[in-house]
Amino acid sequence: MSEMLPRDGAPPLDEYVPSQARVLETRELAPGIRHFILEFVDPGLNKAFSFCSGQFLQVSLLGIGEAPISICSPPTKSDTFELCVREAGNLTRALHRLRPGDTLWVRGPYGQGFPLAEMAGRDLVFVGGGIGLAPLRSAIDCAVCLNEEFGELTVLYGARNPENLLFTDEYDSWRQQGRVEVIVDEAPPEWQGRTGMITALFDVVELKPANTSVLICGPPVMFSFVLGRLKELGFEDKDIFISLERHMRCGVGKCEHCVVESFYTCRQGPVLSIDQIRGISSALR
Amino acid sequence: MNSRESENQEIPGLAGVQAIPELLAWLRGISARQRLYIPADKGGNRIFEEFGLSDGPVLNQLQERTVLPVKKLFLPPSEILFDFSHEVIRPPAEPEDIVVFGLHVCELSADSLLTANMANDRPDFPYLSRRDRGLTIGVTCQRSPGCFCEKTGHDHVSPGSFDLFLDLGEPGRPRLLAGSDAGRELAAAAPFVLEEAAQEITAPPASNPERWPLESLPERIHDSFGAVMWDELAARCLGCGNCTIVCPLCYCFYTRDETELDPAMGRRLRLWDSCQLLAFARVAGGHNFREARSERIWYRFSHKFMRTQQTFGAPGCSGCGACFHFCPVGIDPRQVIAGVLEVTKKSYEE
Repeated sequence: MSEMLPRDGAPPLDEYVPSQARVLETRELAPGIRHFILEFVDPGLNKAFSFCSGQFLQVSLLGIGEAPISICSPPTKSDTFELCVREAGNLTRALHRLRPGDTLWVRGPYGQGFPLAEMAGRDLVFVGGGIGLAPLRSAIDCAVCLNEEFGELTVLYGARNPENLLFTDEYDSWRQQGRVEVIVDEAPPEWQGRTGMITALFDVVELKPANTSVLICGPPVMFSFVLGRLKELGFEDKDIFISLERHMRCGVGKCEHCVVESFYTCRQGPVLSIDQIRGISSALR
Repeated sequence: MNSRESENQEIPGLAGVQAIPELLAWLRGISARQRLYIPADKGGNRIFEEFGLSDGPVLNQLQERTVLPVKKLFLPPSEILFDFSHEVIRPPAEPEDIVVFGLHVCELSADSLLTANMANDRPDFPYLSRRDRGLTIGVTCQRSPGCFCEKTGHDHVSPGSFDLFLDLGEPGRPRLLAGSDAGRELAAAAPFVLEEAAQEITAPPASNPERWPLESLPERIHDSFGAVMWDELAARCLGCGNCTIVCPLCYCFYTRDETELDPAMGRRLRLWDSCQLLAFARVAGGHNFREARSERIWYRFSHKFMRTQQTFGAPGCSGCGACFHFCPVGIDPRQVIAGVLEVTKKSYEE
């Protein structure tokens, strides 16, 4: 195994040292969820930074800690990048206190995103639940921007209640390129839209399984229902892509936290096709 | 350390040929130039300790395993990834050159595999920069109680896996074998004739040399998921994580920020973690992907005999037996693998 010892090789770059980024804008999207528009403090890095929809960054505040967060802006937007952060612990609580001009630290991008290039010429269906819309928004905006590359776009989105719906001010622009259907679990009487399970949305859209790729991100509890419905409709496992939630700590396949049987979610995921994870009993819980 | 007692010890395989004082003098010479770690006695246990700090290196007990493997020197239980002060990040001090004496064959093999893992895909800089400054001197072991490297295939190492190797295999004929240029330099004042390590070094044969069917183990471990045997193990296991701490091939970690009284100053630390602990697979919001202890035990074995085997062609278990030796309830990997082979027997023998 001596050939694997990197003694004579060039020193590798230190993955674990983050780069500083500055908050340009931030707003509350929904209760407990904030949206950030950021740029790297180092202009060179800002120019060089590139990623794919579905990839994530390790975001940190010095002295508090680090957590994986998906990029929610499209790769087609080159001068800034955006994050959507749900308040869930110490770090995210502190991130929520940041205001324009403040800085945070990021490293990445990490993981495999949605293989949009391989989906060229096909219809795309985005199925999002809750904050799962954040990484999908990156892919939706990318597909909208490159709309001639794809067939029809359909966004199916469900949230707990109307006030939890994310990016509501953007649906109209998505509708110019495709269809957006929204549903909530529960709603006050004045809610004009649909209520129920996200699977109900498959009854109001017409999909062509043979030439459609599906991109899913949401809470694990949503997966089995959505996958069951897609199977009924005749979708093949190879055409369904899902973003798995795990706690990626290192992002580079070393710390072992995000492993699902033989997959490092951080390296081979978080986006995997159902084909790839077939037979892995613990992948979709 | 210079006590008469330590100088009068006899080293199995070396007795009557070379005096201990000469070996000690060589090691002392090395330690005068760089940090040298060597198995030492700590309350009846062996630990790798800096030469000169302990009462005496236990040269006559080199066959006994140390409590913590050599990984503790290259992947320390706690290390600084970087310091920060008012939004300025500073890298930690450059690692020091070190020499470690007394690694067994299985540990040299594990060290190579751990290094390959850390170098794979996206290289782990903190580990590799430290490992790159480490020299290893292997020594023939006499086999520690409960070890089983013959079952895992980690019972031999290539010359590229060590810098020097003190071969005590043939009683009365010690050989010092060189595996690298750095090793040759280190051997300059050694009281042994230096030879080139031409071929693989093998551990002393075991009484029960039956190798596990490593090729088929990935699939068999996979198929054993959910089997009752894992529940039975979970009923015994205390979930303490000891097995992962003493394992030369376990390297799970987490990071934590530590601050001064002024919270703008501090450091990001990397610390050993254990997949056997309940919180290991918990995500934001509280959902735990491996709530059941039986699943966590299965994951440990699947990492070693499925994932590592598939990626590197060798299992992530050196066969040193430390996990068994230091397990408070005596969970023995030999019995676990025997269990896996048993529950998957039907499908593999048809």
